[in-house]
Amino acid sequence: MSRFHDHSDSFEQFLKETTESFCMKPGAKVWNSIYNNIHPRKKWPAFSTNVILLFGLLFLQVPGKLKVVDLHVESTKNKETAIQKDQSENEYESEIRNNTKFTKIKTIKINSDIDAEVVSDHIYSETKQSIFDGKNETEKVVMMTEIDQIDKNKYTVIPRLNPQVKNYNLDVKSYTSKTNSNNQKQGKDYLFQLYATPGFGFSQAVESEQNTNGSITGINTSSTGALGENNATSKTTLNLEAGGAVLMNVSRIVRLKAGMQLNYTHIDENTSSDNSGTSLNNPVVAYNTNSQMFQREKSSTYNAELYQISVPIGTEIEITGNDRFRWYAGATIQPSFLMNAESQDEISITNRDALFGLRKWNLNTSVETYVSYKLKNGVILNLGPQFRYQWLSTYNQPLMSGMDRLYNIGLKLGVSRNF
Amino acid sequence: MTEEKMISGIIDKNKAAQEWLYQKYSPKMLGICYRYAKSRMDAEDMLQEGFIKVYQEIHQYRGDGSLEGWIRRVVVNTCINILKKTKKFSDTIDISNAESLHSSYNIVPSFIQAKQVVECIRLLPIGYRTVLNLYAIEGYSHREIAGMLEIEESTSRSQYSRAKNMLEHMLIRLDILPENIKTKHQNS
Repeated sequence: MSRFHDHSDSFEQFLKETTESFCMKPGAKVWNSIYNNIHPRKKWPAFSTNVILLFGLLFLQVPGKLKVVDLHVESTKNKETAIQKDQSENEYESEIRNNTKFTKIKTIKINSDIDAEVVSDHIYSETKQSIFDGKNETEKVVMMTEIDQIDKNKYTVIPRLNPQVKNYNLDVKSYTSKTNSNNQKQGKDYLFQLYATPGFGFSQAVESEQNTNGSITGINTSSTGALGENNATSKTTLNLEAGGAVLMNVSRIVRLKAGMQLNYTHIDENTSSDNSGTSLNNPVVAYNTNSQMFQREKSSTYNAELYQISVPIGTEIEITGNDRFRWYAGATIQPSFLMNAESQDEISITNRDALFGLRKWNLNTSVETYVSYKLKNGVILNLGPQFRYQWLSTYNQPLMSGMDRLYNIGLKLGVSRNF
Repeated sequence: MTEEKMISGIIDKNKAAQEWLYQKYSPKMLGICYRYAKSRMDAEDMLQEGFIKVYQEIHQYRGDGSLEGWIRRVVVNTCINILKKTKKFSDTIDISNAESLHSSYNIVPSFIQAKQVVECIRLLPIGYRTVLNLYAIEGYSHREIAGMLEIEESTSRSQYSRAKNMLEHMLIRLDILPENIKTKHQNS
């Protein structure tokens, strides 16, 4: 294209020169329309929601497939039995009468679609063959079993990996298949956990090339660098992280953990600088100053919401506990990816979707301790404090002038279940 | 922040870089769209479509000329394409409307000179002002304009001649034209 023919005509030259200086400021809705067009609504929130719902459904579905029965046996010398059906819908209590004293077998029925009499009879016959064969009658045996329904009329009793059970030579004729042995392993080793951790977020400024002094949340700290003097104040904000994880037992007290987690971080920062300075921790001001698009502000606020997805990988140790209560301590490292960021600053005409200048990949570490309580239906509730620290700055130097470290203190609320 | 970095940021769909480009060039581009449009609202629609194309095709910018020039070309082409959807430029355009313009001269607002000139251009019939914008301000040749508007080259020349004549009259009446141009025009 041979653009710009020779403007030999002075009238044309006049028109061109005059109109060149003509500018109009578009309305804010124009940018919003452009933005919505070039950035169609993100699929990831819906995708994440679906994944969580799917895991949730699986989580609810798992108890329906595994029939967990607790047997508590006292006395192992039994000759006669009598089965009494408890009036409770989900709980059956059988009495086994021997020559000298009563022995109780308590079965807690988790799945209501199993016929109660069949379950009780089955458990009774199995335990009769294996346990009541001349062992020490004073020894207490607690045996966890999983009953897997093979067909409508046949049930398999699968003892958990309990050495004591083997010692009693459980003669369970129908659990010799591979499926049963797989179930045996899974039932012991894996746990699925859903959790949410609301908490308070803090920001700590650190040294960078242009800024030499740090500031800690809630404290004004001045920073004099090559470009001017800055003051940055970060407010404590309410953050949230939520996700799911699979925990695998590798020994009696140690288990490994891996999962996926969404971190919501809110940054609320006020930065002040002189007319020649850039902000310490405010990418918007730094960006605007560098681009000279806006007048340099003596003070500005930066209010951003960051959405990270992370993959926590770590380990947990059981400190102490019993059948119901357990106390754990754990730690994870979390490679994290910044999926989205939205911010609004006081000098922008629009809400800013500000991934610009923000570090996409980061690394978090969290340490936590929590207690768990196991309900009768097998669901385990978790509650405890958690501390998470972000190792790398939120901002991506050298694009931005400031650096920070974020940390978060929260309360973990979770539910988990064996599968 | 260098322009190269921002361009690569836009190619990577960096949202802040995209906004930076918009903030920097949208006022001038809206001024250009305004010269082609019937109203400010139409101009903003043109600007919107133009910038969407800029973001979609910025990877084609090779750095041969200025970024502003490249954006301007994309925006002008967008304006032309939008106008072509509703207007046949091959028509003998709006002569009756053009004749009535003489009574409109006096309503041209007296803002700054650039604003006055632009408003005068906008008073021209759409075909006239499109050819005038493309030839006198954007610098396209009549052959190129003929191709863009799908008209004969001679039509482009004649429409430009009429547009120029009409605009000069308006600017003279408003006393906007510099003396040297005014004198030249009056002599011709």
